[in-house]
Amino acid sequence: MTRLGVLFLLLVSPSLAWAHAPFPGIRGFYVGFLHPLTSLSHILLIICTCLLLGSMAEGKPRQCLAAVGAGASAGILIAMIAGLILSTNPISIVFAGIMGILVVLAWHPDKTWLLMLIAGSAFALGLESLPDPGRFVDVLITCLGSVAGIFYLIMYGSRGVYEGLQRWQAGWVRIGVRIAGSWIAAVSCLMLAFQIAVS
Amino acid sequence: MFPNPSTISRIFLTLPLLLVSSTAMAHIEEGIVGGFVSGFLHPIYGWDHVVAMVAVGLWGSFLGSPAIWMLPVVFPLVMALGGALGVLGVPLPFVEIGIAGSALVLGLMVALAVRPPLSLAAAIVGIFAIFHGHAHGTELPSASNPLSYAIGFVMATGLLHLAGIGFALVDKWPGGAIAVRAAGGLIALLGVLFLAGVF
Repeated sequence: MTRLGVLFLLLVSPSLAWAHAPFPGIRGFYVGFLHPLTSLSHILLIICTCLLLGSMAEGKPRQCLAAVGAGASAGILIAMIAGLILSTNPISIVFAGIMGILVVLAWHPDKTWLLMLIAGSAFALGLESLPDPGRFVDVLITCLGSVAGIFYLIMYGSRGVYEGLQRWQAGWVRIGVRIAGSWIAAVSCLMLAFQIAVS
Repeated sequence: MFPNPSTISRIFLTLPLLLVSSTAMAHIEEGIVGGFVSGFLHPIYGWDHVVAMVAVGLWGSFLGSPAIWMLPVVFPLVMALGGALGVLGVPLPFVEIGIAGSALVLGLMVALAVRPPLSLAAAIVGIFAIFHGHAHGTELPSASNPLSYAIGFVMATGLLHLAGIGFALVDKWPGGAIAVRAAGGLIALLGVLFLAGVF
């Protein structure tokens, strides 16, 4: 009876079992990973990039994703070197506007221009993703998380748009994509004007 | 079986209290939410904006494809240009007259079943969109969050177009075409009243 009582007490007082000790800096990685979702301007640019890439028939996914990774890494590297902590910069707004117009027109640029646009968008996102100052290792891990977050959001988002357009072939779905592009282009135009007005 | 008289009187005492209760807001509308809500409500709370934007959807639907989606795409894009002028403080004469006139002209287009070429229809819609955009843009810098304000009013504009397109679907019903044209006439009449300063 006593043994059962002790066993019962042990059963009702469990605590979290950690299979692995938390990797140092892993929280920073996740903070960086989710960072693109914490800013409306980032979300707009990511949505537009996904709409453009996803609406292209079988586009050039590998090269585009490589451009995303390279662009985001370059942007965040430059932000680290220059110590730029930006909340919203005009570059991302301009890219969101350009992407929005391309989505509206359903105009798919040739490979070179497309890669430049995608890399430029990712660069703008990276430029705005530098965390607050801290230990170099922590900042680096958070930045790696941001690059990974940007990469995966665009990869899965564009694939989702592509699959959605393949599944629902009705014309109104493509019209919906164009209308979404027009909304984002309109918001970008207004925000660019606002940035100019306050500068 | 039936509640006793005292219970009934309690219920009747409670009912007025329920009716006079005000909305309990779980969250304060500040920051991103406040900006979005004020931007979203700005076109919706202005009758002159509402009828003109519904008229765009009505006319687009009346003209058929591709005007049904082209006009609601053109409107927010050009509206953003007008909004940018407002944000930058560039004065635009006759804004209120332009907004009221948009209800009159667009309503007449529907009422009289005018079918101009698509480019001309887009130009007419675009010209009036500048006035609407300027009115919104003037208020944007004072919003608690300009970006979410811009997103809110662009989305509200799009949904009002959609309301017009939705109403025009009655065109397929017996007597539906008359109802759509009558709605256009009503919008034109409201435009006259706006111009006369009745509202």
